[in-house]
Amino acid sequence: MVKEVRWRYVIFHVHSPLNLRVEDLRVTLKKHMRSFLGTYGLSKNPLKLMAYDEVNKVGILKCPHMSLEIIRAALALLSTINDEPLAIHVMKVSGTYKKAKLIASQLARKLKFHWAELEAGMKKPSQATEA
Amino acid sequence: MPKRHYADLHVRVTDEGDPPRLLIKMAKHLGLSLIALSLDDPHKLEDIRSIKGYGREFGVDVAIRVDLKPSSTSELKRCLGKLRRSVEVIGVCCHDTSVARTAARDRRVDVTFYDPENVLSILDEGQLSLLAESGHYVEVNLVDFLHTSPEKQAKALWNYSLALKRVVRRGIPIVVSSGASKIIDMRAPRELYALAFLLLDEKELAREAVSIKPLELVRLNREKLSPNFIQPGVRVVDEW
Repeated sequence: MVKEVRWRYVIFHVHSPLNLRVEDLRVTLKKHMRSFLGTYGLSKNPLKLMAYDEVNKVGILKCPHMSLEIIRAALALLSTINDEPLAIHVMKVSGTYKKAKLIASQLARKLKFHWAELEAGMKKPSQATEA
Repeated sequence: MPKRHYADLHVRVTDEGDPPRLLIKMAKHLGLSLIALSLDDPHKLEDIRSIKGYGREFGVDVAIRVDLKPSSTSELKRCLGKLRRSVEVIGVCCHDTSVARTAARDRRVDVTFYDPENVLSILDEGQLSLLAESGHYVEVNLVDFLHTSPEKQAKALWNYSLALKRVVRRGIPIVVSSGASKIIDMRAPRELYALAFLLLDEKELAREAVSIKPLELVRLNREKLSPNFIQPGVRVVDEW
């Protein structure tokens, strides 16, 4: 039988000097999506935060496969959280949650090594304004 | 199928932003094959040239770009004459109509970009005709949509989507770049593609705007800068 909705699991990485909690991210995403897509847009492109690893800053979002591009664009246009700069980069997209969790844990390990170097060089928001 | 390569044609090097080495590292992390590091101040050109080797080590092709924001048309012409042979890409910020017209007419300019607030008034039929004749690229910078209120973001999206429809109708090439000066504002190619798709509503055009078009522009300009280049289609193959 053909499925009515084909869900996609978007594995993302949060790039921010802040240590975000799951609730902060959930609220920010909800607020941003509501303002970006509107109520009607959200009804056509629903999304749900499935998991977020606060230590490695890697998370999983669930959305219909038809909404993938619009969700990706919406995430790309999200640039602040509580007046602090933030970026969300989509790393991979998976068709099953099981596979998404596996990829997320692999990515977290890989990013930990690579990202530390980048974040070390990244200016904190306070430093950026001082300069 | 060969692997698709992506480029970000507008990564700005400024005093307030992140250092060029960090920008290159981020580009590698995001999966970009080429980035064009742009300078607002042409006097810093020599400092930035050394960074090309660093990019090569990392596997990121680095092109040098200069962004001009002239206050008058004579200033634009003077800068173009001075810089054309020393950088790979020249972009002009078209903040008013007279500068935009001169930039569109001048073949030494590669890319024109606009302020999202007045893009509709500057990119009119006259400007589009000139751009179509000279073969310039129109650039959209993602940073124009960031760090702004939702109302301004919506207005910018509306203005750009209308303006780009006109641009596509005239067959003028479009490039979508980040325009970032900090790594936190840089985006992955698929994210730039998603924005292009949002504005253009056409998958193939959106894909070209982040991969084929910017790569082609840099390749052509490098060819023109090589000592063997005579004119398009003619180059020195051997000397005796």
